[in-house]
Amino acid sequence: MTTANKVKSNPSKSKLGIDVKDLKVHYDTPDGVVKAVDGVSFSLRQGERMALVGESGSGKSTLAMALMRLTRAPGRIAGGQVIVGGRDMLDLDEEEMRLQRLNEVALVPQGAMNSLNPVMKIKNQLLDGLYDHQVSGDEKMSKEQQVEIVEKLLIAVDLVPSVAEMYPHELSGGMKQRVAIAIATSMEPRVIVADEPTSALDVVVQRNVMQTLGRLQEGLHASIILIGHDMGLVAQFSDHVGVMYAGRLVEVGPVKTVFKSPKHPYTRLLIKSLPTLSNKKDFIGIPGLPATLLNLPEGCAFCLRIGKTNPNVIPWVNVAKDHFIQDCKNCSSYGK
Amino acid sequence: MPAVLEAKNVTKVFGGGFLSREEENVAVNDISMSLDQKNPKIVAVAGESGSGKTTLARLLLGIAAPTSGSVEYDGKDLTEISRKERREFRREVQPIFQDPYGSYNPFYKVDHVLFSPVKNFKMAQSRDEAVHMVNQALEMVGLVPEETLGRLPHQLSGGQRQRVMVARALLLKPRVILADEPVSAVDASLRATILDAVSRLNKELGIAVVYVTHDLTTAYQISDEIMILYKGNLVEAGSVETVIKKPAHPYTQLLIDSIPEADPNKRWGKLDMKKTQEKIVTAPSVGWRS
Repeated sequence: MTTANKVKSNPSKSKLGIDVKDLKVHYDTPDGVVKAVDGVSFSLRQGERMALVGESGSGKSTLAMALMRLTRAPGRIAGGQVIVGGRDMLDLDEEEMRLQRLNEVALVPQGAMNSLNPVMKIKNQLLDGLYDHQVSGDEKMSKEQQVEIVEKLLIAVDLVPSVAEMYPHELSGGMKQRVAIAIATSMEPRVIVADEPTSALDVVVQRNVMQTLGRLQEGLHASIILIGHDMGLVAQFSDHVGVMYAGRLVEVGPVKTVFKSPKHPYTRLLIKSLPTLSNKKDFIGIPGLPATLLNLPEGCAFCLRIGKTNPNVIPWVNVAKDHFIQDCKNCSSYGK
Repeated sequence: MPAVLEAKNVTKVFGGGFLSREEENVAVNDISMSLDQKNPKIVAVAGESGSGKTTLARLLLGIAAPTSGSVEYDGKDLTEISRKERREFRREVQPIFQDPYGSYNPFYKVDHVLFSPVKNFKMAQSRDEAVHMVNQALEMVGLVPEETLGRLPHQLSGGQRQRVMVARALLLKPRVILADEPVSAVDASLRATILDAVSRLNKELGIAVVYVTHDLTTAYQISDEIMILYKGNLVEAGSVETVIKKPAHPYTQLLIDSIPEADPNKRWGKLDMKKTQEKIVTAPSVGWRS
């Protein structure tokens, strides 16, 4: 398939945060290869926020894990490059990659409630990563230093310092997610991957947590990749949006342009399927079922969903400033 | 004519028994609501986790008994009705639950959840009539019978599974459907089709619907009336247009202000969180607004 070689037209102005080139993640199954991520390319400057959206099964979480190089068998990274800080992370050996995590790329996982260790105090979980990456050199941190670092990290995510002495079960969902954010930002990473960080939270808490995450990311001048299916959250939080369908990026662009004039039919339907508070009866479902990724043919996957014949090659076209789509001649006017 | 289903000042308290060391937890505090027979509506019960919305739903379904107050079905207290009446109640008030997968036995084909209630409640005179009813119900919720019947639950998508559940409820010709977060486990793109099916049951067949949800946008889309719950209390209720467009209680205002709208030009979070939260603690319930 055609891929975007450069998503941003002018990367020279500010430093590149992350550059993903033609990334492929495949699952080997007895029935054939499942191409969960099929040649995805995008790049993000430092301090920029990008959201990757799509239905379940579109490959967005698989992509997030691949960016951290945490893909698990039977999945494997089948090709491409993930360049952070001038180094291709897919070239590193396991030990080098382990040191990159948290230090260069950090993950805010989906459902922090399950990512914290239930039998460890919060302060030790915050320090764990720092010890492991030997922030203080070979010498052990003094007690005072530890207390100081933990307090600083907790205050940065709007938690009171006394949380340090607590266990995860004593915290609410929102507080646990804040701890996860504190851990992810503890080593001031260049790139933060946030995989549906607030999908289990109530709206008021969600807004609060996202504002904290945004403030920290801005302070660190880090790039953030937000994975999610909530187009509303994307519209509120992100500067850029990438829409995924069947493991491929079908549209990438600035949030305001994409929401105002979506060019790919799938993006159009995604936005239309959202209920709003302004006008009633204006939301419709997307017809058909998401594509099965097993033995998916080359070419436009969305054509298959809406019962059109799919052309073999679909060009990646620049439709406006920083705005790219997979321009399929058979389905591009669908749902207009 | 009495209401089909009515909650009269129901309160549900958990814990805090004679020997209990735990504090009392008032999950639902003195809430009343009724579903009219003549003019069946869609009533949304909205709130965040811990608001008591699911407990209220369980009280209405007769799965839990209220600590005080009563739930009445056709004017009769649910705790006092006969076995025969209870059976009738079980047919006429149909639940739809959150997780469309949990309602299925994974080893049985989906036909099982559709045909067994028809058999149990003797809804059809013959096998042919049962097949006809099932097909009709599936079509009503936008499913193609040939593509749905004969399959195992895991072979259907989440959206299809949930629509089969709506069809199942429909087969029993209920007067009330009580849907507890029916779309929160399905993809956003599929929510519209399920909610549309529920809404059509109300409009075309005159079934009253209680829609329990945390999502004010979908509640706004399909309901006629809305009740906002906060920590077990009803803080604001009324016509959905009034409550959503001109919220009067600070909690409703905060909820609406925190909804991420899919429009980058409409920024969320204009209210000051701390000040609003202080107001919520002291603000009295606004009550019913038409």
